Amino acid sequence: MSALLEMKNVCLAYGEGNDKTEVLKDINFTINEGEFVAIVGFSGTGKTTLINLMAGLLEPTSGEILYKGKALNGPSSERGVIFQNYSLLPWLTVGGNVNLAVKTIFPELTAKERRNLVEKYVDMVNLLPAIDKRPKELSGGMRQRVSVARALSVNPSMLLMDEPLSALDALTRAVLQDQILEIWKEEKKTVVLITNDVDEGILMADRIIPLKIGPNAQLGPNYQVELARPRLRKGMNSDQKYKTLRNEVIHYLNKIKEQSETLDENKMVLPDVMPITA
Amino acid sequence: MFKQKLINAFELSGLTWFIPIIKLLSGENPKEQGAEILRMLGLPIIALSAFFFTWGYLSTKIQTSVGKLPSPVFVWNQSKAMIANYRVELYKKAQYEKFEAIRSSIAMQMDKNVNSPEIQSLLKDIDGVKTKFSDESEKLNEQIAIGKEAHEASVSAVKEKYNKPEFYVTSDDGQPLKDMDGNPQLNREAVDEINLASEQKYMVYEMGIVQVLNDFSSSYGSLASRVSKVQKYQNEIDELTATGGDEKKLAKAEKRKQTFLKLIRKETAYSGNGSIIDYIKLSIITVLFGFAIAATVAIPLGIICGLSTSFMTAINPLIQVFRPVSPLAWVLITIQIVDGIFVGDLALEGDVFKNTFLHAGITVALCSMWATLSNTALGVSSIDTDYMNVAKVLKLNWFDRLFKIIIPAAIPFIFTGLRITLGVGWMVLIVSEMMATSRGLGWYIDQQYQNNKVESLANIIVCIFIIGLVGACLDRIMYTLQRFVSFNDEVSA
Repeated sequence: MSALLEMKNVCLAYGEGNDKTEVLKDINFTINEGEFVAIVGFSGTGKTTLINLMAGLLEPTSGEILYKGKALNGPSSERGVIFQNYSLLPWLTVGGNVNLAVKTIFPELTAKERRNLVEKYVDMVNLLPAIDKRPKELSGGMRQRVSVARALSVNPSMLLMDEPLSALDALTRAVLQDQILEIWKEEKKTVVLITNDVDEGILMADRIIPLKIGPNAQLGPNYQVELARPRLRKGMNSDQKYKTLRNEVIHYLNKIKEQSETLDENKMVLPDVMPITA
Repeated sequence: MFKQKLINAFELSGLTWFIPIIKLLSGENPKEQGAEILRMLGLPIIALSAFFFTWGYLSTKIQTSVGKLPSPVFVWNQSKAMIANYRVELYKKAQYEKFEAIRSSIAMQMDKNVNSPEIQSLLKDIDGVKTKFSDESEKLNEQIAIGKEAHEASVSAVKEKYNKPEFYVTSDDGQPLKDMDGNPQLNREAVDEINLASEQKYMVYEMGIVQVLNDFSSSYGSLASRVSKVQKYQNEIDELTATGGDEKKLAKAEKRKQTFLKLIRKETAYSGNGSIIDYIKLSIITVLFGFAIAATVAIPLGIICGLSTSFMTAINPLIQVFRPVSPLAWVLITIQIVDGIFVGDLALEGDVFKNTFLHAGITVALCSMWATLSNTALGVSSIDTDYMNVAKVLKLNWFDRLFKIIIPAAIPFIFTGLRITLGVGWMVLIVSEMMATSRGLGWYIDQQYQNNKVESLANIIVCIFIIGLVGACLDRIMYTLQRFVSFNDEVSA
């Protein structure tokens, strides 16, 4: 297997001089074609920044990002992004949102071919009955499925998902997890999933990488998930391998959390005052 | 379902007080909906009655420079008189068209043969119309006489009421002063009340119609006499040519015949006085014209401002300086510029598009465009980064980015701006019409002000209500549009 995307010593900082905050530091990461990698971390650690770098929406301050061995140059339709807050255009219908993507990537298609393609992807996420509805009229889960359909419709080789399911209720989440896995298997995509849910990572990914807490966030060690697919939620809880891995990852995350709290020099010191009770 | 659709429509337009009525009519929990109707309709009615009561009370107390402040009843009668005038105007227009039709067909027939049987039958028609007119006006005059009697009775009742020593003006030694007719001189309160009573309008419609009937009766009369003159001279000419008469006489008769023919052929001008409906129409057309100019200038400019901070920085001082300028200042310079451009042969003359219309319309645009400009700029510049990220990931080109992402995202802001623009424009319009003498509501108010009568004051009050109602309707329309185009439901009422 060859590396599809590589990040070498990637740093990202905002601001200049004294105001400079390094969000990510020395990120080294490789993902192979067809692989499903989950990056887990606490909120506010720079996960979205990381996915924006991979998508090409942000440029690294230093270091390099290679896609198929070549330096990454801005966003591309080869890497579809599924944003955390769906980012659907509210003035377009479900079909319209997908169509906008299809139209820009395949301008040579006729209106009818385009329509067929749009229907195919909307059908893939089981939303064909809602194709003429506007995002406002859809539930959170349905909106995220539209977002998935839009990302898939441009036929990317890689899918970058930024906490796609974190805003959904547990049941909808499980349904969508299965749907995403099915698409991954059938369409043979390479997937990077950002999540704050270790279980979700273990259930879906081939490999889990924790992200340390920023500023200066770095990637932690790789945890290979050597569980046979399809992984069934029911059997998981009693699976010994699953339990061990889960404990390891959670233990690691807790450790870095403690470390960051003791290391935090900027922690606000509360003044030593007491309310006047007399 | 039809009911739900209706409810949604009312909700969209903000006319929410109709909703309980619909629910009640469809038999939905009468008690609850009844209470809702009482709350939504009852409370405004209470407030309105309190307002009219206060007005009624103040009208007995407040002294204006032209007399007592008109009471709600007086103003109501005045508004009915305005409507009557409008109906008279419509009638007059219809009569004018009929008259013109007859005149032009006579003129056409006369070009062929001045003594044709068609002309005779047309003349007969004219006679018929004249008889009908005189019958009608006779009937109306009877009605008017009755109305006049009632009016005079009420005036003399008021006069009687105030013809008491406590209302007499007395000299220093306590003796009542006499006016020129030897009657006791009344104090100001009594004079005002008597004036108010005698200025009360009555039989406005009937009197107006009688006037129109008389006018057209005489027009038909002079038309018929011109026709007979032409026929007379034609007969003379025929006779002279048959007998080989005097050349000079022949020429003279021909010349006279031609003079009258010319008069018959000439189209008569319509001399309308204009009515309140015409003023309202012109005002609405003017404000929409100004609004259209404002929108076509402000939206593109606002988009450019929103896209380019440099451009925004460049023109911001201009916006800040021009925005607070009063319409009174703009209208004067607009008048001079427009009159400078559309001068001589270029001067605009038409029912709507004349110079004065342009003065008012352009002033509206100049004063009201700023809200749309700054709202559009804000909408474009504050576009959600998520949408821009989508645009980047999809690699939309500049054109698609602008028309598929940026402008749609800014539409709610643009419409908020347009709503403010139309509201400001309507306010500015009245002042501009006063100054520009464009024949809309503002001009009419100014005319009434110059009249200096209690009656005119009442007309102004009627106009104030009309301006308010039209303004509220325009705002409602914009509000509905705004709700319609906004993809999230956050619109302030």
